[in-house]
Amino acid sequence: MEDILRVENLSKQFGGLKAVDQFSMNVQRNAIHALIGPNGAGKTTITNLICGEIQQDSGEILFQGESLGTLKVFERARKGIGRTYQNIRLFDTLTVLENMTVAAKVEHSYGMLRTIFSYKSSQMEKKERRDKAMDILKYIGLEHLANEHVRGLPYGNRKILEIGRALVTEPSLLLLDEPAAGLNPSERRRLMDIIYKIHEDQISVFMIEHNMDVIMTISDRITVLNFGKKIAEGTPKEIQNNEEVITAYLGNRFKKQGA
Amino acid sequence: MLEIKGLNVFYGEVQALHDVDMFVGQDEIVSIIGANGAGKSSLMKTIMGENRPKSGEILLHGESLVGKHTHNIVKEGVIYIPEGRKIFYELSVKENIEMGAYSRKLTPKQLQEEMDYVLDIFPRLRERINQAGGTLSGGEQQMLAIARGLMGNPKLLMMDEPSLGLAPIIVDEVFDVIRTIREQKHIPIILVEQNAYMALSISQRTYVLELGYVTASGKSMDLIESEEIKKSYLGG
Amino acid sequence: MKKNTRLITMLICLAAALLLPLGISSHYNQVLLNQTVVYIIVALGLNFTMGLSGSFDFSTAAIFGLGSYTTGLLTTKLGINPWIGVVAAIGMGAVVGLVLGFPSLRLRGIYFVLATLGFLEIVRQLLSNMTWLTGGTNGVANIPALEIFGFSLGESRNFYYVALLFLVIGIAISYRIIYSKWGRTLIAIKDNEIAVDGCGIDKASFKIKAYIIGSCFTAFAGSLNAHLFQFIHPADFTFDFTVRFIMMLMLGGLGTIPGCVIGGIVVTILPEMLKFLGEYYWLAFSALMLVMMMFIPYGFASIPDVIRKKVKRAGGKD
Repeated sequence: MEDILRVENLSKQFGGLKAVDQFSMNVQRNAIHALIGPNGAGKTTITNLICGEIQQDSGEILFQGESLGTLKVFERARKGIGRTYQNIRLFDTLTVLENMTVAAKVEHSYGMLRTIFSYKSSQMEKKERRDKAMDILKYIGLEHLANEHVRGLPYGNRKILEIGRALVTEPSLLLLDEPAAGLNPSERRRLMDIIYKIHEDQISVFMIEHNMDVIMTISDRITVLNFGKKIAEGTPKEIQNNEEVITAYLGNRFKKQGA
Repeated sequence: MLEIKGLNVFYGEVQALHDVDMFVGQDEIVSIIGANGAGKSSLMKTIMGENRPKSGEILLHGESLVGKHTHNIVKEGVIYIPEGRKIFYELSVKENIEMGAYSRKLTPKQLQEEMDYVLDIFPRLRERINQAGGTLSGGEQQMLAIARGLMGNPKLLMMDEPSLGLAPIIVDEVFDVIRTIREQKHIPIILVEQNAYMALSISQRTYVLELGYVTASGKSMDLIESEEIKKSYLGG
Repeated sequence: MKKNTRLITMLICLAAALLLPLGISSHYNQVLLNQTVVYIIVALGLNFTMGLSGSFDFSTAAIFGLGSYTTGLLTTKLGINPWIGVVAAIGMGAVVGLVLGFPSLRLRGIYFVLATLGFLEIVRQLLSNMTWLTGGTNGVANIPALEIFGFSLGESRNFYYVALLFLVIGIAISYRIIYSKWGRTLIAIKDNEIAVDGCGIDKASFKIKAYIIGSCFTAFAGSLNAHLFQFIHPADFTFDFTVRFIMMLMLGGLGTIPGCVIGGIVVTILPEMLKFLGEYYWLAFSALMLVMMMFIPYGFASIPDVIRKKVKRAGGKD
């Protein structure tokens, strides 16, 4: 199958620390691909490199066959890389609906002067944004909260809303940074249902996650990172039985025991 | 010694610990293991009074620690060595170690005695006594953090991820030191580790935390051979 | 219904604004009223940058000053029609907004704040030292009054009504912007800049355009001010003058139009009412400001919301 994202020999150093070291990975189109690894393995650095928040020292990232080069975050997002954040980043003083309308990708987008002087244009754009936002809110099951302020929303709904806000930009690749963190079991179920639905709608999903139950249940493929390097890649079953992965997660036994 | 009953801790709306029960006896190493985000650090911080539990009890020698300020908990002899080796980079090794006795009123002679005793456990630190803390290697910095902790005359020593970011051979050394401390000082030690096999091999008993729940506990010797541990880290 | 309430409130306010001069007899108070209207237009302008997107902007006094000098010099030195001077001032606002905003708003962090602070000082120095052009510390005198259909506006009630008309237009433009993607996105930038990038939005372009339109408002108000007093002086356009507008927004409520209006009125008129305290009037005014900010941190415009919430909560208990 075709790759939506190819990461080739990516390296990034912070001071003396090699956060990402010659890392390569292919994410297949329409797959759910997970990146896992112990604390400090470099997962968030890789996500930030893909999104353009930071620039790599060497290596290349190709999205839909095209090098992302030095494109800025918003330019990459426009190309179809949507994302969520580890610590939810919503627009807290806006309503649920407004969070969505701000991000919505629309056909009719007018400049400031036209917004000021043409009532018709500005209403048309408003309506298109609103309709689109409502569609996605229905899709993620939050339409009943459309006019609520985000600040008062329960944690689980905020996490789901952030996924919705990424979806309304019409991504072809969705990056989820720890989507299950802090969710209770029923919210987790809801999250997994939504990820499945996104997957069925032909959007590729790339996620970082610590909850192994979630990872092992929904991923097609898993890449394992340790100390900035890829140590394994494969299906959930393969990963669970990979000796190197087990060592990375559970460590070695004490050598001097009995000595 | 330390007893925890039905502890529930929240960060805002997110529940970090669910009904945690735990017991640490005199003169044993108890390890708390679990993957990232299992709640290990939350538990430590709660014991140290940095988080206030929503419900539950933490008893030290039968006396409640809940609601006490961190500095008072330290005065009770609960010493916490945080992850990431928070040493003073600009201060010398000697000054770093002295800082550990800050809240105790010691005469210079007593201080010297205690320091000699601690340095006996860490000969490497004695060699570098006048070097600045920041110039030490990762393993030495961890040793220094432990040495500083010991200067507080702990009745209960808690270590958060002492193996974090250290090379495997150094990890062995650090754990060797932890065993030595227990043998010489006869104090209980709580060892919080991601490095599960290592923690299991040097501790007497272990609690496995998973997403804020204690999902397994028992003798470390038994747990190390069980599939339970692997499952809690890698799912299944 | 909510929309109707808003419309009715606006109409009542407008009616009050129209009737207000009839109750004023002294020339001094009429001028104060005229000045208030001009200052509210500035507050509306500053609201686009500081109120909505939350970036501190200290350039207000400089841009206001440049607007004043643009029309002041064109009309006195070249004898150009004052209305053309006013239009030129708006153009000056746009140019300054672009030149100052384009480089500094593309960078993260406090570059914009520093740029506006530096600009404020540069403009003040230039206005006082380029004597051949600006007349230096003598200021520019004998600026002609605005005229409309042969009626001179001067410092009179006529000026007030014309300025009020401009204010209403300014408010209408503000409403259009605030309640469109422009306003919402600027608020989103204040809430979480990083997430705005992630949504595929070129936030710099939003900030720059907001700054340009804000500068146009400010320079326009500056030109009205020049024709109102017919005399301008570089010492009028200092840091203190900028702070006055920042206070208006904070006191009235950042990002809201009623906030600009209320803040503009209070900050312009309250010090005058305290003048009976003699040399302590500014101290008293500052203390009052502080107290008000402590008790209503989100400004006067937030009071209806606070009351609504309290009523709701009280109702919920029953």
